[in-house]
Amino acid sequence: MSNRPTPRAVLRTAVTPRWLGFAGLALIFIIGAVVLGRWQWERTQDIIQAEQAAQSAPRPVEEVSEPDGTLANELIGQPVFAEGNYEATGQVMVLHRSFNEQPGVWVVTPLRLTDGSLIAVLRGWLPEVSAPGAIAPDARVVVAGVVQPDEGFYLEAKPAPGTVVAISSVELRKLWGPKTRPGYVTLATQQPTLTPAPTPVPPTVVTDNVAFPIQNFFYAIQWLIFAAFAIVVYGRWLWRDAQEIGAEDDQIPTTVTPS
Amino acid sequence: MNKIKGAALRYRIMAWATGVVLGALTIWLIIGYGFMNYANTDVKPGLYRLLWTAHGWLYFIYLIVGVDLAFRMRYSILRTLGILVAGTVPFMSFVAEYFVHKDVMTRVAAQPADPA
Repeated sequence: MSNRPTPRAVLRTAVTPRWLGFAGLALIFIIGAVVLGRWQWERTQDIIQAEQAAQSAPRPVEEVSEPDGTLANELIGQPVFAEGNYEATGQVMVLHRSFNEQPGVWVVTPLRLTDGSLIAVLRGWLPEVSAPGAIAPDARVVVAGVVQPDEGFYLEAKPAPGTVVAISSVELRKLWGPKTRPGYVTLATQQPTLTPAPTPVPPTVVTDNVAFPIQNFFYAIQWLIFAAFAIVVYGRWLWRDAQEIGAEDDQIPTTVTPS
Repeated sequence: MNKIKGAALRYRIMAWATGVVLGALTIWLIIGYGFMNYANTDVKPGLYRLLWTAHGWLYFIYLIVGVDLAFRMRYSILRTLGILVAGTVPFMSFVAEYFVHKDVMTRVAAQPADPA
C-alpha cells in the first residue's frame, strides 16, 4: 500500500473523468484565490497610498476630484484647497448628524470653481436647520480641507427639499447639474472667515495615522497559501488513488500465474 | 490507531478554536453592523479586526490538521473538501467535528489491535 505508485499509474489516475473533474475544480479555486489575493493586495496598496496622500502637501481640488470620473481610492484623505464662490441656493442640510453627542445637521454648500465645475463643501455642523450660520455666504472664498468619498447609504431616502440623508455626488448632481465633481471636501479653514458659521467637523474617513493594513496584507498572503494548499490536496489524494491502482496492478500477475 | 487518535484530537482542538472564534465574530459582526454603526470604520475596534486576522490563521491550521486527519481516515476527496469548507461556515465546524469524531470512535472501536 505504501509503495511508490509508478508515474504511469499516477497519469492513468489523473486522466480519469473523476480526477479531471477534481483538476478543473482545483483550477477554478486557484484562479479565484489568486484573484482575491490580488484584490486584497491592491487594497493594502490603496490604504498605504491613502495614508501617504493624507500626509502630503495640499493640492488643488481640481487635480484630485475629476469632474467626469470617480475619486481614486488612494486619494481619500488628501488635503486640498479650492477657490470659488459659494452658491447659497444649492445648499443642502444632511439630516441626523451628531457632533460631540449633540444631535444636529451637516451643512453642505456647493462651491463654484473658476472652471465652472462644482464641488460639495461640508462646511460643518449645526444643532438645527435654522440655527445661525445656516445661511450660506454668497462670497468668493478660498477653502482648505480634506477630500472625502461619496457616502453610499440610504440613497433611496427622499427627505424634504433642501435636505439629504447622505452626501452623494450622484444625488447632488441631480440638484446641482452635471458639472458636480465626485466626493466632497470637509472644510478645515476658510478665507475670509464668515461668522456665524457652522462648527467644522472632523473628516469621516480618516486614513492618517492608521496602522499598516495588516488585515488586508495577511488576507492577500492567505489566499495565495490556500491556492497552494489546493495543489497539495489534489496531489496527495491523486497519489493515494494511484497507489491503490498500482497495488491492484501488482496483484494481477500473482493471482493469474498460479491458475 | 494511536496516530489516528492523535490526528483526531488535533482536529478536534482546531475545529473548536476556529468555530468559537468564527461564531463569536459572526455575532459581533451582526451586532456591530446592525446596531453599532461599524460601517463607519472609526467605530470598528482594533480587537475586531485583529480577531478576523487571527481567524484567518486559525483556519489555516485547521486546514492542515483537517487534511492530515482526512488522509489518515482515507476519506474521499469530496468528504475531505466538506470538512475543510465547514471551517469557513459559522457553527458548521462543530457539526463536522461531531460526525468526524463519531466516525473516528467507530473506526477505533472496530480495530482495537493496532497492527502497525
